[in-house]
Amino acid sequence: MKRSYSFLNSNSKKRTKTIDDSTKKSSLTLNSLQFFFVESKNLFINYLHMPPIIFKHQLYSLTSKNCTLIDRELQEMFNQNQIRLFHSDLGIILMFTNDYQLLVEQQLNENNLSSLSIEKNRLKQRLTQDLLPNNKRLSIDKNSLENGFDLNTNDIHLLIQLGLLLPKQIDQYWFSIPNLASFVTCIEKGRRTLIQILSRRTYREIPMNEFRLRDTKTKCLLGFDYHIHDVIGANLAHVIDAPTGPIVKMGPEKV
Amino acid sequence: MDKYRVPNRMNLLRAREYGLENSFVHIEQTRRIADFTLCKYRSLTPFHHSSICTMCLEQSECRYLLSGDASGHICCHDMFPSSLVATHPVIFRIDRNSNRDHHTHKVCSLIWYPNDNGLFITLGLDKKLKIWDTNRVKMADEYEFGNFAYSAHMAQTSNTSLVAVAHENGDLRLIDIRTGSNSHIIHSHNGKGICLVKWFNNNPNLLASGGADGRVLFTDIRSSRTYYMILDPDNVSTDNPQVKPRTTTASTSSVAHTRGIKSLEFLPDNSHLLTLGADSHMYLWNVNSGQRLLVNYGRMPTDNVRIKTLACTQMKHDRTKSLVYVPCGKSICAYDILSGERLTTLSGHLVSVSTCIYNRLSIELYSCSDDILVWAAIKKQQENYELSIKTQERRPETTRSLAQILNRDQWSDDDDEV
Repeated sequence: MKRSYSFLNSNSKKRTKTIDDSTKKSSLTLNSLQFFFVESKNLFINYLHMPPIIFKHQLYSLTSKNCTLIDRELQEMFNQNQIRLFHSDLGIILMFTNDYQLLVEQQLNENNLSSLSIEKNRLKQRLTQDLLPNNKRLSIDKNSLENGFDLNTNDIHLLIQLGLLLPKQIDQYWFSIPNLASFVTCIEKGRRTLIQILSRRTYREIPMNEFRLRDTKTKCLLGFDYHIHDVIGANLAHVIDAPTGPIVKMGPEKV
Repeated sequence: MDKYRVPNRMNLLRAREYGLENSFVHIEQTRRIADFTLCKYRSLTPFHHSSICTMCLEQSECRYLLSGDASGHICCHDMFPSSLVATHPVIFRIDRNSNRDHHTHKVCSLIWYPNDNGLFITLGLDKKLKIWDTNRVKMADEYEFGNFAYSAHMAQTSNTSLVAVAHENGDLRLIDIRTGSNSHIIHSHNGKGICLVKWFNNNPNLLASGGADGRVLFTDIRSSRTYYMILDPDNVSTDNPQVKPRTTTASTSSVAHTRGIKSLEFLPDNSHLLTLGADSHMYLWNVNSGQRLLVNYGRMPTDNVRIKTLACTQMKHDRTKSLVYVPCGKSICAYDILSGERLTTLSGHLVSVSTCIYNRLSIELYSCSDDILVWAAIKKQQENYELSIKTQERRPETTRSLAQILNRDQWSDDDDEV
């Protein structure tokens, strides 16, 4: 289980040190979150036109040791309403709350699905001020939406159409991020590219330094680090520590 | 891992001399549970010809180990002399040659009567639950069901006589072995079926059941409601006090695991529950509040073993020192329960392991796949034993060559003179 991403860690330390001074809170999770955030912020805005989204398993992959600690710290941040967690088919994803609120407002303003602007404003207020801060979890049921937050069936339909709610089961909805399609495509493309490079090698393994030099810019839009941690975290590859540096090998880690 | 190491043996001894340290035994025990190795020189008399599905260790003496295999044969080994080199004999066997009332299909569950070892209960895939007299190895009672039953369990507290049986159609059947009634059925799960049922360790009226759809329910058999608590991994009802206790129908659909339940295990402190699901996650729950404790054990590769049995150990003096042995494919992984850290991996089986059992008296672990292996903390003794065998082998060679002996004698004489 012992891994040392020596080069990555040094990299992340350099980056997070400057941020730490401003936030004045140093926790493992926050550091690694900031690492991904800084790394991919510009790329997210340029290519996908949305604020950065980070996978939970990427954090496991970066710190590689203490998953329990990460879980607890993330839950604490979620409870303090700093971040929001979402369910997705690729794994649990997370986003900073401020970013999400901006996204929600933008989504409600831009779309012309509902004609009445007053109704939209009401919905927006309800959503950003009541619903989201009071529901620190991944899913919500119809009953509490209707009774607790005073939304009627039309409102719920509108939210589903806008991509803010996602049907989970009968009368149950996931909270979700709108317009995720391009992000999912991007992630899957990146995974496919990296796995393809690995599977073409003789022993399905490649030194990390050599991997980094490969030309993946057109396929891995969100940066090499973002994608490689996604692949490792999703158990499609694992890292072996060798004297010459870390080596990425395909397949889940053998026990 | 550091938690389980001995701090410093010299300091400990000194502290004990002055009467400061009285937890010497505890420290030694803690070291031993995290340091298991395969006992190469201990074997069980082979009996089973097909793969072993389940085992059960009798709890009053921790001595007799029942094992049942896929062809319905059951045998009992005496595990008592836990010495370095031992072959454990078969006490009795139940197969088609020796017993008329044997199971014809795979054995699903074996239960020792919790109070003494004069009685045990077996459940097979031939839809029969049988109660046996141990001393005469004779069937005392038999119950036949209309549906398959995958799991049965008996409450571990004293003066209970209830056996809970989990059926494939989602019924939970209660059997009172004292009166012989088997008609009490609780419809708690839906049609997909129940995989597992377990009584609470400390309460003879509460039981936990895990369904094939991934739901884990706590049921009070005294009440008319089907269940009183459902486990929810998002901690919706437990974290947010403003959410009312779940009475609505919509909120009852929360699932603990996204796929079926493979194992339920209460920790010895009676306040925690470990569940292992086919979605390759293991979760730790607080039994009293139903809250999921945020412990991440990482992915657990699950295979097509229907029911796995975990072995939990917990040090009595220090509740934080608790370990669980989880069968992961062909190996057994030891995890620290409260931090989720993986400590060791025991490998020695050739096919996937289904059951681990911890023996709390002799501090050993039994695991079964197609054979039963014994694990204990005897690394050093085993190495010494191997060395002694090697030196014994060498000795006859030296005695054979006469010239060498003569030479040696001369040398020694020379030494004496000098």
